[in-house]
Amino acid sequence: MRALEKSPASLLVPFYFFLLGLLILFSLILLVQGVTGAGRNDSFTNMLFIMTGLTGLVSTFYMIRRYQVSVQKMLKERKTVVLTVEECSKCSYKAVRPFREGDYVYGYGEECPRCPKGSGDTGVENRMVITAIYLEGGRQEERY
Amino acid sequence: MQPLLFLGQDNTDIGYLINILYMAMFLVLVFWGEKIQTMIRLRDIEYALERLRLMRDESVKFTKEKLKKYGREDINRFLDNYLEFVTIPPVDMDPAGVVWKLDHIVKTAEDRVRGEIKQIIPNLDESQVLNIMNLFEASYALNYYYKVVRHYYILSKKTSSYILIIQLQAILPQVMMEAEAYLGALQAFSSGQPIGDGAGALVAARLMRGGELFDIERDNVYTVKNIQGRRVYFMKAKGPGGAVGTPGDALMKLSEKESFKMIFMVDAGLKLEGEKTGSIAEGVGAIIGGIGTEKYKIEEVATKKTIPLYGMIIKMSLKEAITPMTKDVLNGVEEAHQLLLKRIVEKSSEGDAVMVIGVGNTMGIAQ
Ligand SMILES: [Zn+2]
Repeated sequence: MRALEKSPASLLVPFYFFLLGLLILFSLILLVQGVTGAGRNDSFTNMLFIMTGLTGLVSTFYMIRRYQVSVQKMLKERKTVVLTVEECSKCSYKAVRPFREGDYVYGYGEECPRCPKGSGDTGVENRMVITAIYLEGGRQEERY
Repeated sequence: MQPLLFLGQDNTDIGYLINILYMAMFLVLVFWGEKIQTMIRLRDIEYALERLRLMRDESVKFTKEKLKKYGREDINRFLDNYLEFVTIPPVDMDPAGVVWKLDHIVKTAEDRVRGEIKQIIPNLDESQVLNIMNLFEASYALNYYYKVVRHYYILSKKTSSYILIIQLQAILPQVMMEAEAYLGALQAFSSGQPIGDGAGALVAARLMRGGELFDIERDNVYTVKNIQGRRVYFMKAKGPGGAVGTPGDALMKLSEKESFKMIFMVDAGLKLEGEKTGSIAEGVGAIIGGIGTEKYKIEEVATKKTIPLYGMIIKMSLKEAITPMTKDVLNGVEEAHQLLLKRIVEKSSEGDAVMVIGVGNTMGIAQ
């Protein structure tokens, strides 16, 4: 089942580019045909060839560009990371680190690196308090 | 030049051919234009439907993967059952008292799911159970989107109703956006990260710091603090599990022994497109979402005792509401926090009792 689900997507992209390649080739052939056939004194057909060739080229490049943009967008969205802000209640030392499972706001984080270790350092005495958890680089709304 | 010759070896036949092709195309478009359009539109819908199905499967797979660590196979079967779980709303032909019936049914449904999860995985603590429930709800929502879109897709295909297809296609982008938001919520739900909807709860949590905490009714905590001579009750859902609490019930109970002079509510609200995330809107009324039962209770108390209801909304999009809290929302929380303290002092006088309710899903936010 899993293999089946994966195969269409991984096959589709090369196929898409194969088609685009064919389209480019075909457009180029038409274009060359149109240009070199200039002496054939059938200017209508030549014009048609050139126009079709150009349209094909422009549209393929447009499609490639669109694909690029969508890939870039996908990569950009992936770059978000959830951060945890910890603060020491004694010396107000503040640290930001990536979120780890089990963190929650107003829960206890790591030990404060600045404060000396207390006598009973098994407890929560020395640990910083998590004051915020937020998504860094959360996608800004597109501006229109 | 050999390979190029096939395209036209000095003859003008190709010109005629193209002309005939154009004519044929014109005729085809005249006679079957609508049919072709319908086919194209249906293809679009099919594509979206397929994506919805993948999203649903992805969500279920993710949830099951996350639950693997507990080593109970039964939970998978329960999740599959839960996707088809139905909650039947009460009859509303005679609307008097329908809210209490609905309240009862919703609580029963919640108890049932909560109880079953606890039964299958007994060593879970309360907040883990709630987070699993939230995960289940994301899958449930995705499954629901998929099923409804599929229903209309098949229906419009069967009836080949052009209008139905256009309508379906018109709402699809919005549906996909919402579905994607739910898919994005999975990560937050599974690891217990605070979500945007928790903005109201976070404001309350900040104000509650240092106070003595009391549990009240189902999933609520409150504390009483003295702010410039006013007795201020701060209440929120009990974290850090993904609970929304029952502020209505809690308010009803608290107002039996305390006569509040005013009620403040802070909640995350859906912004309109173009509005800034994290901006604050102040207003009047019971600012709380959900099915309306808690809202009803709060309004009942407020109306019976003529307590003014003031509210504050921290704005965000649906996606921001159910995915990890963004910096913009956090800034809004900070602003709402300061504003609320100012308003409490402004609107009340010394010796008054004031209620402040931080509404929202308190996942990842303790107190
Ligand atoms: Zn310290």
